[in-house]
Amino acid sequence: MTAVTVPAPVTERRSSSSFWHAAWYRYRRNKLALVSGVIAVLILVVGIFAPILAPYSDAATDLTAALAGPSAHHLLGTDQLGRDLLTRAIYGDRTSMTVAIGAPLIGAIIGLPVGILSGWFGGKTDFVSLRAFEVFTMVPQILMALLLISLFGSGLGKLVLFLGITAWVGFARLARAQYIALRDRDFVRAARALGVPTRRIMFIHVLPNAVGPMIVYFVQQIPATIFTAAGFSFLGLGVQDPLADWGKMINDGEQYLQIDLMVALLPIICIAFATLSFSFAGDGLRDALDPTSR
Amino acid sequence: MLAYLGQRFLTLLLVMLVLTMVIFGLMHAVPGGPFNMTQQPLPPAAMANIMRKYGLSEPLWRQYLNWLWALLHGDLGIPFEDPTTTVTGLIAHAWPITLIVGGITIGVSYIGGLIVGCVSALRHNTWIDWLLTSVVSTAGVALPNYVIGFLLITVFAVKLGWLPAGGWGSPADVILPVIAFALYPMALMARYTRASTLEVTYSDYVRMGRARGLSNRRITTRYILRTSLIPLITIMGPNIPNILTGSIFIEATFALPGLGQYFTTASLRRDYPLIMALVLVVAALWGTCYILSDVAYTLVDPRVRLEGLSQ
Repeated sequence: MTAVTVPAPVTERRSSSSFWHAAWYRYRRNKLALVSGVIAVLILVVGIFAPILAPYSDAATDLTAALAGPSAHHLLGTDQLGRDLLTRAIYGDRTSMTVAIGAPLIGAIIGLPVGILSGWFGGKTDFVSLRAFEVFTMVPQILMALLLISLFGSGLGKLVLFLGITAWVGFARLARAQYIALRDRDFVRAARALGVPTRRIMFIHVLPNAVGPMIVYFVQQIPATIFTAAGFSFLGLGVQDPLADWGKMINDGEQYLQIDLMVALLPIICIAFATLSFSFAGDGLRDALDPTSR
Repeated sequence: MLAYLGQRFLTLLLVMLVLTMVIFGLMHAVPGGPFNMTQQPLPPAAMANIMRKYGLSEPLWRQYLNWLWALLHGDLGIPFEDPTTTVTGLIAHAWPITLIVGGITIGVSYIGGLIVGCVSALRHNTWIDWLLTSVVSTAGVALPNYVIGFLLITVFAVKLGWLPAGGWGSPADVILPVIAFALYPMALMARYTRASTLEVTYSDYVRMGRARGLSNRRITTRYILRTSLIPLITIMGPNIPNILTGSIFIEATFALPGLGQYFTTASLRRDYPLIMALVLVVAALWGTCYILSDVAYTLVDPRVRLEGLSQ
């Protein structure tokens, strides 16, 4: 008896580790994705260690040096209140990444369980959640978030919360499709025939097979969220002063174009770098983790 | 087919009913009201009068039913921010501007994306393919459309002075917003067109056609392009209402007096009738486009059957 059961977990572990090995191999071969991934991680690290890396405090103003242009004191110049632009960009990274990671995280926390349950059990659960999908897709995510933010007020926490709440449908749809595709596969039937408890099948047997596309979708949501969050700041509905944010920096810099181009150009470059690196890394991840998809 | 459409639209109506209830409840659940933000606080008697005038002192379910009853009579109410007009008038005034910009954007981005995608797929792995794919897809996804708009204004309006920076009136006002707006859907369209065209190009039946000696041109037009355009309908269908309801960001950047601004101002000012009207417009448009793209899918691809449609 034991002789039969012992090899099973060993092969399982080997196969699952070889999946991640193969994925890493596929990802590594894609040079663009590799470089983008490194930059994306760097952007995250800079955001996390912003207080250590930034040369000044994010709120330190020096009105005598407002819009002074690059100098030895301020490598990239200062904004209209004399705040160091490099510092603002680094703290802006921190704010933007908080939203860009936080909102999809909330979306995943709400959406994945809903999708998993409706995909696995089908029937009434599925019917109810499909109707919920319909109601929530009737109004596009941005408009729904805009409505919530204008009604309940803005701020970093609320921005993350509302963008997250409105992002759940995508995650739920994905998880539902994954579980529907997997629930009647042979290994699931085998596990059921062996008497493995349903909960264990759902999370130990099926989830590892479904997690690849979920990770890919999560990473792909990051650049989209950077766009939306910066857009809300741009409209004046996002992060409020003294917090730095790229979208708000563009909005501020717009008025000082004639004096100092850098004030608006720096956050634009930051947004472009962040979105490009996350979307190329996301494309690479998709090819690596989900090779059957296009 | 008619029965199927009827059923789908009936479902849409039910979903919209639920949606309006949710939004209605949500709006009123938020503390503060439409007339709490006047410069001086209103005396209680005046406040009570205003509330009574707009029917805001009645219980919530009653207000919802009143709204629904008026809606069924084609009356969307009076916007709080401008009581001299009606919500219908306000939307009728603003929406055409959004529709014009959106319509041109759809045309430009879809046709441009199709051409770019087809050309790069038919010239797969040549320098044209490489250039088109990398430039278009990068430009479209690197920056949000309002930032592209801002860059366009800086270059073409401020520095060169060729085109107006914003506003609405002359035909030239359309150009910059459309470029800024069209870039992303165009990149999306080009990407999917390229992928689906490539898939068909290397399929067995195309190789078979070549082996049978069909001309290159016939293969391309009759066998590759016709099949490769099928998936695009479902991919781009849901994008249409998004463009037609207008990007709030584009309209803010270019100071266009379209529908987009009301999404912000209406909810900031608690303009209940206007919010409800906007939600209705958007939901109806989205729902209709979803249904139509499902139907269009079956019309062009006989392999697909609609769920619940008997043959």
